[in-house]
Formats: sequence, C-alpha cells, structure tokens
Amino acid sequence: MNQVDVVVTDDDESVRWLYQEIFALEGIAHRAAATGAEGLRLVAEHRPRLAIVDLKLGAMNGLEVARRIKAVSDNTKILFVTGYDHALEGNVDEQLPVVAIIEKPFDVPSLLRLVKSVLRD
Amino acid sequence: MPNGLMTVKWRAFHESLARILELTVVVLNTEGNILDVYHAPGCVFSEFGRYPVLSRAYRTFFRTLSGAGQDGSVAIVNDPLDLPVAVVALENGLCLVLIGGLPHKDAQARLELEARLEAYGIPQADRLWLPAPALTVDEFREKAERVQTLYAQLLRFTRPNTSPGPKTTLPTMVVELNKLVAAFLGSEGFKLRRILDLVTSSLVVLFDAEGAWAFTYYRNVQTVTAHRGRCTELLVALERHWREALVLGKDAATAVAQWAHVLDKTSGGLRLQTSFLTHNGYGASLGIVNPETSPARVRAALSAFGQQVTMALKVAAVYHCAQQRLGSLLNSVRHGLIITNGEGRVVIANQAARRILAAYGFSLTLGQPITEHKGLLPIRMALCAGAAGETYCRRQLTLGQGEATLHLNWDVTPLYCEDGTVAGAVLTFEDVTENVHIRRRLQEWEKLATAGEVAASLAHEIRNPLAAAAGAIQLFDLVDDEHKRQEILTKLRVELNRMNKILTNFLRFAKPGTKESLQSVDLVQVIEDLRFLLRSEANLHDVELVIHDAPDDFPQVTGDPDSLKQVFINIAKNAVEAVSGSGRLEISLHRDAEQAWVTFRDNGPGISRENINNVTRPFFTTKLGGTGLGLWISSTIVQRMGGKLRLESEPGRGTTVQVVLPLRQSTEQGSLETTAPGTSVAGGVKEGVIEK
Repeated sequence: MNQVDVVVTDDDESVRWLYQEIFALEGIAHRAAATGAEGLRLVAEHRPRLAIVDLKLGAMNGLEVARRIKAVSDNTKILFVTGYDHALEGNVDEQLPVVAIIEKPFDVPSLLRLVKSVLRD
Repeated sequence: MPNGLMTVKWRAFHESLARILELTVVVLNTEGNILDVYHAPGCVFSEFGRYPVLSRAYRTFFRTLSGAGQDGSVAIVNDPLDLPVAVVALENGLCLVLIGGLPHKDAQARLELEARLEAYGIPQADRLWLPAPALTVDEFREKAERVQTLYAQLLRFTRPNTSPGPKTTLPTMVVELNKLVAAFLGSEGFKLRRILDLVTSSLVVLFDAEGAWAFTYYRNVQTVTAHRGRCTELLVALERHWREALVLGKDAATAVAQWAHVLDKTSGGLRLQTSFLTHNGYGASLGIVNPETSPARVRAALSAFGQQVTMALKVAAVYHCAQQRLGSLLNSVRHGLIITNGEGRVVIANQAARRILAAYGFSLTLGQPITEHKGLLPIRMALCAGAAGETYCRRQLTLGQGEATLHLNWDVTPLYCEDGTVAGAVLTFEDVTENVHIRRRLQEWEKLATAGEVAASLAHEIRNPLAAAAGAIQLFDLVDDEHKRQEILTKLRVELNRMNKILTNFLRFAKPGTKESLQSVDLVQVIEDLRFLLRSEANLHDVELVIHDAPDDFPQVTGDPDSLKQVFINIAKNAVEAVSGSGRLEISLHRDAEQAWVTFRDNGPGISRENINNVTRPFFTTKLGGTGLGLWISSTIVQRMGGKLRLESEPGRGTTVQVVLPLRQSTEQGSLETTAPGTSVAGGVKEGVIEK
C-alpha cells in the first residue's frame, strides 16, 4: 500500500479538482472524498498525516467528521476549510488536533506551505 | 260548568301548575275522559302517546276515576305502572289527576318499574330516566291537598254572583299561593333555574270589581298570562312597566309612580293601590283594583303580599349568593364572557369583558345591548343570531386604527336551558392585540434573520467556485505544460459560469415584487412534459415510477407552468432520492370543486415528526450537501400562485407531498403580486430538502 499523506474531504467537485491538481504538481500523495463517510474510510485505511475537511455552513458535519477522524487515526492532523468565516465560532473542540482553519478562496502557495510544514513535522 | 275549566284562564293556570309542580296535570270530565293534559317541560309522561298499549291502559284507568271521590277530596291511587298518582275531585264530577311523581329511588322499585315497562312493550332504548320529583306518598298527598285548596278557592272566587266568603278572600289565596311555592322550594327540590324563574318572574294577582283575577308568570321572555275582561289593558301596561322597572333597576318609588301614571291614563275609572318592592334588581308587585270595596281586605292583601315578597327576597338572597359564586368563578376566567338574553341585552358580564372593552372606551350596562359602536356590529348581530340557535366560532374582529387598534378573537354560542330551549347567547372573546403586535415584530425579525441566513448561504455557495477559480489562476502560474494550462482555463470558465448561475438564481428569488405570470395551466400536460425527465431520474436511482392517468376532463388551474415544472421536479427528485434503490414513487392528479392537486407519494423512510414542520423552512436540511432551500422555494412558488403545499409523512411508511392549486374559474384573472419574502435562493432547485 502506497503511503498517503493527505486525505481531502469536500463535496464540491471543482474544489476537489483544485486540491488534486495542486498536490499532483507538488508530488504530495493524496486521496479525495466527496462525503464525510468516504473521507473517514480513506483516513482509517491510510492513516494520513493530514486531513483537509470542508465545513458545511450551519451543519456540524465537518466537525463530526473531524471528531471521528481523531477516533480512527490518532496521529492525523486536521485542516478545516470553510466558505463561511463564522461557521466555526466557538465550536472547535480543543481536543482536536486542528492545525489551521482557512477560508475559501484560499491562497494556493500559502496552503502548500501549510501542508508541507505539517508533513515535515 | 261543563267546560268551564277549558277557558284560557284555566288553561294558563293548569300549565303554570304543571310547571311549578314538575308534574303532569290531567283534567278529566265526569265520564273520566281526558279534557286536557299539561306537561312540565321534559316530563316523561309527555311521551306516552307513542306507546298505544300503555296509552290505552291509562285511558281505561282514568275512566275508573270518574266520580270516585266526593267534592274536595284527595286520593292517592296507583296507576297502570303502579306509580302513585293524586286524584283531586272537583265539583260536578270533574277531577284533576297529578301524574309523574316517582317513588324514592331504590333498586327494587326500579327493577319492578322496568318489568312493568317491559310488559307494556316500551323498548329499552326509550327508557330515559329523566329527573322527576321523588316523593313519598305523604308528600305527594300534601302537595295534592294544597292544589285542591288553592283550586277550590280560585274556583269559588271566580264564580259569578258569588260573593267571596271569609275563607276565599284574596289574602288567603295569596298565602296559599305562597305556601304552594314554598312547598316546592324545599332543599330537595332546590334547583337554581327554578329559583331564578321564581325570582325573575312576577306573580301578579289582580282583582277588579267583578272579582276577576290574573296570573302572570314570567320565565325568561316567555309569558303565561291569564286574565279576564277589563284587566287586559291594565295587565299589558303592568307587564311592560314591570319589565322596564326590572331592567332599569329603578327604585321602588320610581316604579310605583310610573305605574300610577300609566293607570290613570289606561284604566278609565279604575284606581289601583299597589305595592312594589325591589331587591338587587328583582322585584315583586301586587295591585289591588278599586280598593274602596273593602279597605280591610286591601290591607290584608298587602300584608299577605308582603309575606310573598319577603319570601321572594329570601330566594333572591340565595340567588344573589349563588350569583356571587358564579361571578367569582366567571371573573377568574381570563377570557371576556358576556351572556345576553333573547333580546340581545346583557345579563352577565365578567370582569375580563368589562376590562377589555373599557380599555378601548366601550362600557357595558346590564340590561342593555352591548355597545352601539358600529365596529361591534358583527358581534351584536351574532348575539341575536346566537339567541336563535346559531353558532359562530373563532371569529376575528379589528377595531380602531393605529395605536388604539383592538384585535379580538371571539365566539358566540346559544345559551341552552335544561329543556333544550335557547334562552340567549354566550359571547366569549379574547384580546389578542398584544399577540398580533408580537407576531408582526416576529415576522419582521424573521425576515431579517432569513435575509442574513440567505446571504450566508449565498457566500458559501459562491465561495466553492470562487475557491476553484482563484486556485485555478494561481495554478496557471505554477504550470508549464500548455495542455494543462488549457485545461485550467476551461475549468476557470466553467467556474465563472457557475458563479453567474448562482447569482442569477439568487436574484430571481430575492427580487421583491417578482410577478409569477399567472395563467391557465393544464396540469395533465405539465406532468406529461415532465414524464421523460422524471422517468430518467427514476431510472438513475433504480426507482419504480408510476404516473397515474388523470381523471377525465381534468380542469385547468391557475399558475405558472414553468415554475410548476420546477416545483414538480424538485419534489420528485426529493422523493426519488429518498427511495433510491428499489423504492417506488407514484404521481397522481385529483380535484374537488375548488382546487386540484398533484400527489407525489413515495414509500421511503418518511420524515420524523420533529422535522416535518421544518422541511419547508429555508436552510433546513438533513442531507449532506443540501442547501435546505429546495422545498422552501417550492412552497414559496406555490403560495405565489394562490396554492399550498401539503405534507404528510409516516416514519417507516413513506411521504406524501401534495401541490394544491386553485381551479381556473375560482380565481380572478391576472397576476398576483408576490408577498415579497425578501429572501432568495442559492443553488436553485438542484438540491432537495429532505434526506431520508
């Protein structure tokens, strides 16, 4: 089984496309999932260093996915991506290994720096 | 006097007797044939005519009574049902039979009575055990003897050319009347309504120079009046002024003065010496005509009348006490409560009623119709109709304007007596002004909150393609491969188009005053147009789709066909996704006289009770990736067309959604201005609401 460093969960196909293009360009081993369930399955299977999780407005689905990720893969860090800047206010569990919360649209070089720094640690 | 007992006067007397005694009074001739029968209201014996065998038995029984007793004697005998009846023998072989007293209740007596009813072929279902006075034989005899005494006195007194003897004088008779009334006021026979009848009714006994008498009995607005000769005019005047005095609550002096005034004008040579007492708005009166015949007699009469009034006032005190209890009960009710009599005049009003109306400048006066203010006209009319048996439920009324506006929710129901007759109407109402204000503020607040939520949703929807587009531009700089760069530019174009589409949809629903173009729509055709699309959607999710044929001559509805297609697709997609993989969706068309509806019935997992009320709210979704706008938009669209969305769901059994639209002929032509929800849609109808 090949090493997978990053698992991306985002229900938007275009956003997944972007992640894939970026990571392919930089040679970062990754997998992408469209649903929380699929993302969890990939995390459990590959135990990646980083999980990028999209947070849906209003629903706690992203947070729930993050909690379960911690349960199935203790060493996986989490990066939240949100389209709504207040979505996470006061809702992030301190126990979760969250490295950052970034907003869409995000700066590609910044994202890459962040991902690489996590993978280096 | 062969038929002397059949005059109007005597009929009225017998009827009054039956009412007061709560018995049936039968008058028999010398052969024992029935001359007349008088029933108390709700009396069990009034039904006997329906049972021929029993009816015959009674006729035979009555014949055995003729000439049975001597004049003035009272006998208690058993009737065909083995129940005691009192036979009062009058002169000339006539007799009066009092029927309907039941023995004291005991199980054995009841069983025996049941057996006898059985023997007379009276079906079980007809044996209603109405409340009837339970009397011992001695009590029954005592009552009968009082009736006999009273009767004999009246009979002798009214006989022409007979001067009243010492025992048949007016005071004696009034005393006897009092005794009779008192006899039925014992604790056992205590009934509020009876007392009310007595107190609010007048017992006017009048004697003119010829010795005629009148017996006036009020019961609510029903009047029993017996009179003779020249008393008529006088009595009419008395009745009218008596009522006015009662209603206006005037003091005794005023009322007496009024009477004297009227009598001077109406009674010709007659003079009246009268006594009138009021107490808490109730009164009693007695008038003696041409008192010069015997001043001593007049004094005695007035003294006896005093006794009667004293008793009436005692009764009034009891009534007053009961009324106070009733009053405190009614005053603890939060709703306004007003009871009016048959003429629409206020009889009872609780504190809440006075407070609510007073706050808006309306006052209430007992004995008067509720305020003449034209704004209250609907209620006043309803009260009159209520007294005629009509019922009005959950009505609303708005009075005044601006700050002083009063919003009322009200009901009017008839006021029924024990015997089922309508005595007036009951108005209950609630001041919902505060609720209306709160609801309006809430609606404003909800609009703002919804606008905020829509903006947030829009931001989120836009930021996905924005992220992809912005990323694509940055990626473009990082990539050297020309083929890859073309691919990125294509992606960029797609994402920009996507953003434009989201904004277009947003504007379409956000723009206030959007007009749905309302026109005649053939629902059958709309469904037909969608058949292919729905079929492919169903196939995609492996769902069995059944589109039932519409009934023949299916009518046109009012709506916008394109918007309706959007709604139908939206609902069908929700259903198909809910039953995805071997489920079933049925679409059918129905109609009634005013509307038509399209039913989407699926056999999916259904919607939980807690969610069913939320599914048409904006942003409610249980589906990952759902916007929570699909069903809300559908609901908004249908409402704009004057229709509605009906949802029924049973968890585990499936969900039914109905799109109900008004038939073409039942609406006016033209467009309907939208109610400007001030809200929008992002993501259009591509996603449904219900996740199952």
